[in-house]
Amino acid sequence: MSFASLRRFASHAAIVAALSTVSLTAPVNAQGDLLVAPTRVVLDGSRGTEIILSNIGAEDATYRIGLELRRMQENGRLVPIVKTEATEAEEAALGMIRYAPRRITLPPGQPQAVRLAARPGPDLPDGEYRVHMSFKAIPKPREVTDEAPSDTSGVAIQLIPIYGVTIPIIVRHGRVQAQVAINQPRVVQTEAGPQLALTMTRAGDSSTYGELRVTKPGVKDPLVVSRGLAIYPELGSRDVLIPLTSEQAASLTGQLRFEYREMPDAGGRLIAAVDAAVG
Amino acid sequence: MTKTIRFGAAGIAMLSALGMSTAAHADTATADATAEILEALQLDLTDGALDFGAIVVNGADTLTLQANGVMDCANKQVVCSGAVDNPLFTVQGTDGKAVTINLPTASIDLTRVGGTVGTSADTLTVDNFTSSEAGNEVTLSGGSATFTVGGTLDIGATQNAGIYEGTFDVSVDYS
Repeated sequence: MSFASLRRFASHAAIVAALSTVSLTAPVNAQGDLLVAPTRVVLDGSRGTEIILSNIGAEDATYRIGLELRRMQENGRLVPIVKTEATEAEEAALGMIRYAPRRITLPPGQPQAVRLAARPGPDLPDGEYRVHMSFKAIPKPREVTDEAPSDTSGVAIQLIPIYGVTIPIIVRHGRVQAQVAINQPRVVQTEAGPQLALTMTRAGDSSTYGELRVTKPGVKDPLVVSRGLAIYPELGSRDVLIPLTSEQAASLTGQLRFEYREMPDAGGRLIAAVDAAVG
Repeated sequence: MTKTIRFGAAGIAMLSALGMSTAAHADTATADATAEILEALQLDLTDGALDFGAIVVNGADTLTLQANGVMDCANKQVVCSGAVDNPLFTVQGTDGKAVTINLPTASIDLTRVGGTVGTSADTLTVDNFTSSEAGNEVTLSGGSATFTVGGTLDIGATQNAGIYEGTFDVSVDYS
């Protein structure tokens, strides 16, 4: 019984716990449904890690695991980048990630670990390197008997989605750092309702990841919390739009404090803060 | 002589391996006490395929099935019948996190079942994929969100009758 297998067991236990709560809200599962944990990986040094992939569908499914590239736009959207348009750093990132297996067939309810590690070359410049690992179900070949056209005079369409998720795999090589500042917080009215808008500027060679909390002096709980907010090194400035309830929008007036902190499970260190009057 | 040295080396390696496993046992006590809770990301398809219903073709035209299930079939060179369907996805993950939905940006070819690949009368294209979410971004409020997908079907004037099949990629990207 090695440490790794025990740790894997503990991870599976966490997944099973997550599954049991999740199944209450999603009673109908299709072939290819999936769960992935954790949702981001930071590798620094030679130690590898594991990602758990679980089949939460109702049938056996085969999943393909691959490496893709995404770049963040100023609005926070992740845009796919084809490999022929990769920068040198993106190519280096694709080349240094080792992972296995690349294809997994799982019965319903079954999890499996995907092991991964980074092997940076000896001459690699210090910096942050990133790929996005994709987990996608391969659709089963359809049975021919399904296809008999019921109406021979018309045209019918069967366009099947092949769906999956991607999560960032970040390699920090050498010393990297970043500074972030929060600018121009304001409440804006959009078609989708009121939103908190602000701009975050970033400098340095590292990404940041954390939660944005808006607090008001004298009010115990934060008025707004946006979790899992990432700013990647390709961006010097990122616009953030957070949907608000009308109660939240009404309370966001006067002197407010905006804090961008690392996620609580990562230590909760303060990355940036600003006190600003809104409204 | 060489053999002896190798044997000796193997013996040392075995011993050190045993030693390591003992140390690992000691470690597990701590590891269990601090078992990390992993954030999970889950994606379900709760409702079928992108389905434009049954279409009778009188001439070339385009049909747009919006992500909200509305398809305007008035004043078209085609007659629409049957129910349309949009794939409905459920994403579950970190409460309050915004995630990106990526859909195909190029057009997707569908081939008639039993038809010849590359023949225009046996090929339909679907493009302009859209999601129900503004900017193809969705916030997991309460740790969960749903979205639907729509698209535009391009029909040729001499389209062979039958069932057309194809696949398209939907990716939910965590930052």
